[in-house]
Amino acid sequence: MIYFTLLTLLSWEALGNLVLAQDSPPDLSAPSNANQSVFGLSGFDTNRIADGLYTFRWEGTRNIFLVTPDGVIATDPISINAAKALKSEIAKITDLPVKYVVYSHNHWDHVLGGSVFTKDGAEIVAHENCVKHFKDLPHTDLAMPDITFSGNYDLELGGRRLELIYLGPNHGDCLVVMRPHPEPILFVVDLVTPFGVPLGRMNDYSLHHWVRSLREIEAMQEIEAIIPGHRMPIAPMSALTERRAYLEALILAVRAELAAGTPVNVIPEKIHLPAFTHMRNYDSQIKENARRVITYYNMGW
Amino acid sequence: MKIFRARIFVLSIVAAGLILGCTVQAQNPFGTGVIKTTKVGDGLYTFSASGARTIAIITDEGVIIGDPISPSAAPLIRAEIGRLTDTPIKYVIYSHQHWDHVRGAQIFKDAGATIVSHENCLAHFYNDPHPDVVLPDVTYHVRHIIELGGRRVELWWFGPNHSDCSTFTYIPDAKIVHIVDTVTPGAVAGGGGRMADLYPNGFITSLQTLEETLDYDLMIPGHGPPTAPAEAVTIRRQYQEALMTAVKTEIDAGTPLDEVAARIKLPEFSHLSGYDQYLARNAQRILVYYTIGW
Repeated sequence: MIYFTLLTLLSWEALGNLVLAQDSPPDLSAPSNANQSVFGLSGFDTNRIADGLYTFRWEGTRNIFLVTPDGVIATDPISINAAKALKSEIAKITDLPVKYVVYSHNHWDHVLGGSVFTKDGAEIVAHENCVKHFKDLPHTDLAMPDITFSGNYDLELGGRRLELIYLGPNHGDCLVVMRPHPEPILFVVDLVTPFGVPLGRMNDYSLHHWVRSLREIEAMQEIEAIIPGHRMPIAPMSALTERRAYLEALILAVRAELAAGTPVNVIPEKIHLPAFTHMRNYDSQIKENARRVITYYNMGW
Repeated sequence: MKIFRARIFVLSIVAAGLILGCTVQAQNPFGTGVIKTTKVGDGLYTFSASGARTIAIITDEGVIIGDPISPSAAPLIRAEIGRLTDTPIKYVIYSHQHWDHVRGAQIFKDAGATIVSHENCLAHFYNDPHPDVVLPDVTYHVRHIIELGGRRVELWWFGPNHSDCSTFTYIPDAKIVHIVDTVTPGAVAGGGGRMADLYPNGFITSLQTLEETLDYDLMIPGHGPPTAPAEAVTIRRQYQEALMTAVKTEIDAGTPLDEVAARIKLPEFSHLSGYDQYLARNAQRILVYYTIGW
């Protein structure tokens, strides 16, 4: 993150000569090449995780796909370029078509590029709450869902079952985690990026519901490992537990400072969580993370 | 085409503050906590307490107030209104869902007031409950009219902006609109500058719709001075457009994302409060919008 401070200050004289004109509205729609990697990873690769279960990485972002005798279930297409690469990777494994593309949630860094598959007949699947976001904030590279659902949804193809599990609001309000049965594995996007603390202000996370959702995942007895939506192909469940424990410790520490009457601008300096200093980005992000918790307790957001 | 000079705008904010501030400003006579009351029109007052601002519209048959602000501010607001009229507080209007504005309404509800909010606030109140936030009795979809004692107050929802349940309260007989947080006059986007919980694109549409729909000379903000000229809304909208255009231009030019914020300069808005401190953070927020659609 860059905190760029001082820019040119105009004198009062210069201000006096300044005229603001109201012209026709500018085009503020999303630029087509906005998706640059923020994870410092380049290129793409594909890993086989289990029988018929693969994970594909494009730069820092990751999805899964399930190869069945009747076709392929793909997930987050990421971007047009990523989807083209994914398509060629799938073609190396099977000649069968991609029948479904499932969106994990509404954010563009995961769900652009679906048209690469829909033009060959694939159907897009997403939680129904995503639709209003897609309508509110349209993007030219986004394919609208063909199949929507509320609650959980079982997507079945060629004897395989991809269970889409909706945990309520957490990161946005339409995120699903995905269980490729019968594997003891869960595809979890953005709720956890293993071994690191969250980045920055934890935008668009509902803090308490995030913790609740992570606890609900931990309570899924059959799940042993997770495939995260960013970075490494697979991580043990303990990585998710570590993230949840970090969030709880952070929230409790900030709450205690607020209860003690510590001024809000001082609180970030006072938050130290020694049990979590080994986590990636701890030193650079702890204060920003703390500020997000302050916002929650001040504003309910 | 509407043209105005930035300096005149700044001076007129100051002038409006001075004129209206001098006439009727009153300190809370009880000395417990601090509340500043300003008369801004016939039977129309604004109160500043606990760091936020709310309004009261006084009629012969009762009073309509805006946000209760907090459990410590609410009794002060009630006491101030008690000095101005004997009629009861009939309505409390929530500006949006954030706790720094909508806590403390219980004392008004206990005295018989009806609490009104936009319907989208309900999901927030259910998802993130707070012991000091009272659920609304009445919600509305796009517009809600309250007629009381011969006065008319209009509640408008213009889509997502600072929140997805912002109510702009319009008082037609005074040509004043009360806008909480979506516009803080004479300033860039505040709240630490990240414009967290703000809908960048909807924000612009929302303010454009407001500018085209309502006939108002002044706005009363949710923080800051008692009133500001209508141009405050336009300037804030133009700042948002210029900011988004500048960020989009850098992305289109292929500027690495971590360098975009530092390159954004909007000298025509450098007179706005918080410009030096928050411009780069405001730009970061727009980057998030353009990269993840949030």
